[in-house]
Parts: sequence; C-alpha cells; structure tokens
Amino acid sequence: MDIEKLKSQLIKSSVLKNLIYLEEIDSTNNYAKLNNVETDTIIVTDNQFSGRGRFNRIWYSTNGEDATFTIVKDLPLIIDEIYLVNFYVSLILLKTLLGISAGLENKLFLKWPNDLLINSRKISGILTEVKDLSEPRKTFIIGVGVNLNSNEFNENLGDKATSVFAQSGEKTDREQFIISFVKNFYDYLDHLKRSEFLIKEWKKHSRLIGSKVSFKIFEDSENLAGVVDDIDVDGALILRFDENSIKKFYSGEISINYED
Amino acid sequence: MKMDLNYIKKLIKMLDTSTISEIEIEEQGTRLRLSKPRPKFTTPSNPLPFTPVPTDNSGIVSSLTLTSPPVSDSGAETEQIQKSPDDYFEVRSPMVGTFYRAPAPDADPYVKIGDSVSSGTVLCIIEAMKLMNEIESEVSGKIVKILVENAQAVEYNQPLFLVDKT
Repeated sequence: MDIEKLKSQLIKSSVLKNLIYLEEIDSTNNYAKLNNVETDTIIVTDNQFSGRGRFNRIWYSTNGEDATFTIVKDLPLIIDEIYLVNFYVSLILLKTLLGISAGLENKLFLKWPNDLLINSRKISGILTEVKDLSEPRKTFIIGVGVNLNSNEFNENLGDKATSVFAQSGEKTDREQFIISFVKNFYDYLDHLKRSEFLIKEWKKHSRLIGSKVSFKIFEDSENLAGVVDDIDVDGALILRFDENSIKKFYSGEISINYED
Repeated sequence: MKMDLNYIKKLIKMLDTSTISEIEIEEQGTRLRLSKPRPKFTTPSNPLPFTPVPTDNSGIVSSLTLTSPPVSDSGAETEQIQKSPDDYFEVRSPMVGTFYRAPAPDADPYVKIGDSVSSGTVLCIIEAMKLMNEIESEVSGKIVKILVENAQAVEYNQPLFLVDKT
C-alpha cells in the first residue's frame, strides 16, 4: 500500500485528520473501538486476517489485493436518522466503483440494506457500529471491505463472492479507490439530512422493488417468500406476502431470486 | 456547578434531546427533579418488529419542581431502608430492532445478572438494518433483571434491563 499517496491526498488536503496504517490487524473496526480512535480518522490495512461481518461472519480479503478500512466519523444525527448511514455508505461505495470502473455500469446493484452485488454475488461488506447513542453527536465506526483485485475466493463462500477484477477483467488502483471513496463520503454528507432523496437515489441502483425474494428475520428462522413492495423513507423493507398482507421489517436478510 | 437558571436550562435541554425521561439532582440542600412524559409502551402482541412506533422527539418537560428536602433530625427513617420503585432504573430500547446480549454468537454477554455497571457501560446491542448500536447504561448500579431474550425483536422504548441503583 502506497501510504504516502493516501496521506498526500487525504491528510495534507485536510479531508481527514488522521490516517493509521496497519500492515496487518484482526479487524480495523475492533482496532478503532479498542483504541477509541477519534473522528475523521481512517484505519487502513493490507491484511485483515479476521474481518468480521454481522455476528462474526467472516469477511475474507486477500492480502494486498483488496481494500479493507474503517472510517471513524462523528455525525449529528438523531436516532431516526442513524439507519441512513448504511444506505449512504453503500450508495457512496457504488458510485465510487462506477467512477473507477466503467465496465461495471448496469452490473452493480445494491441489496437491502447495505450490500453490493455483481451478478447476484457479493463484492463488498459493510459493518457499521454506533457508539454514544444518547449523545447529540454519535460516533460511527464504518468498516468497509471491497473485493477489488482478488481472484480466488474462500471455498466456504461457494459462488456467493466475486471481485471487481473477476467481473470486469480490470485491475483497480487500491489507493486511488480509497482516496475516491473517502472524498465522496465527505462530499455528500448532506444526503444524511435528506432521507427521502437518499433513499430515492439508493433505490435507483437497486433492482429490488418488485423482485421475488426469500426473507429471514434471524439466521435460524424460516424463510418467508415475498415480493419487495418498497423501501420506506426510514430505510425499512416493505414486503408483500399476498394481496392483503404487507409488512415492514427493520432487521433480517433477503435473498433474491433473480431469474437471470 | 451551581443551580442557577442557566444550569437548569441546560439540564432541560439535555433531557429534551435524550432518551431518558427523568433527572434528579441534589446539591447543597436543594433538590431538582425534571421529568418528561414517557411515550406509551405497549407490549407488542406480534413478536416481530412489523409496526414501528414513532419516536417522540417533542421533548415536552411536563413538570419542573424545585424543592428543599424536609429537615430530618432523627435517624429512625433512614434505618428502615426498603427498596422502592425509585431504586430501580429501567434501561429502555431507544429504537426498533433486534436485541443481542453479546457482540457475537460465541462471545460472552456484555453483562449478566448481578454485574455492577456504571454510566457508560455497554449493556447490549440493538441491531437494525445491519447497524450495530451499542446501548450504554445511563446509571450506575447492579443488573437485577434482563427483560428480553437474546435475539428477540424489540420495540421502541421497550424495557431491556432493570438496574438497582442503591
């Protein structure tokens, strides 16, 4: 990783206050939490050997090929607005990737609430943790992992994972990707105060509405078959089960049954 | 720290913007108690978070009383200490979501019954839309009850923990 390039673009130009580079670390989010890292800091690593997804699902990344980092940012959001952060981060990630790799246009889609898919396979993982909920300014620890140049995927993942390289054949400049993501992240923060606009933008890049999906509230709960009716302005998933049954969900996971 | 008008105004503002519903402070013989109405909580008949309860951001301060405590000259009253409802603090969920007692399925829970906690101790996580929200204790005391099962859906303002403040 060319740290000097990151520093000259992100620190010297005052986008961020601090950049912490770790050759390897279990998880950049854990590092941020354990060290009470201050706002406007990015923690970047070349080798995250125990990246976590939700509930310790493992996020695999390839040493030196992918982008794994955490941004710590204090944001003045009320509790009703905090959910928007996940939609915001995934939208910024999508826009950054489209800006860098033209070959991804019409291939890259968002899945509720914060996944990025290419051909129904996952290329990124976002884990956002929130501290100081009762404070007017809450601390968001935003962990991002994106498969950029890796071409081999852990066999446990089957055909669930892919990378930008595997899909477009193009290698991505990792530093340039991180720089663009961070700049975009800071440039559009006002979206977080415009929930209707943000959700509308997010929906434009998602093929969810009208799709048949199966839905699980918890890891071990039964699969429910439904159709996505809408994403509400507060981010909630609205599913239609039959003519008379529409329900709103704040937690859970969908699998998409695209017929492609 | 003096209980002047500015100080009280600051407290009211703090209460308005917080999820707590009551503040009580005693200082140099003067007691100040601020409270706002709790949004009504009804136990959901449906265990799933289908219907979000809108959060109450009105922040109305319904009563403001500034009283001096009665002068007590006998020790008799203080001898018979009994637990009153005021000794307990209910930690409530600030949001709709799923309640998790531990940071991961195979990890130790943040707190167990009998644990001492202080203001700021992380008690649990409420997950909503893959946002993991650390819920901290607002008071110091001992956990006496955990009112929700792990991995259960919770509604806005649902009581999660009972903390003995004495």
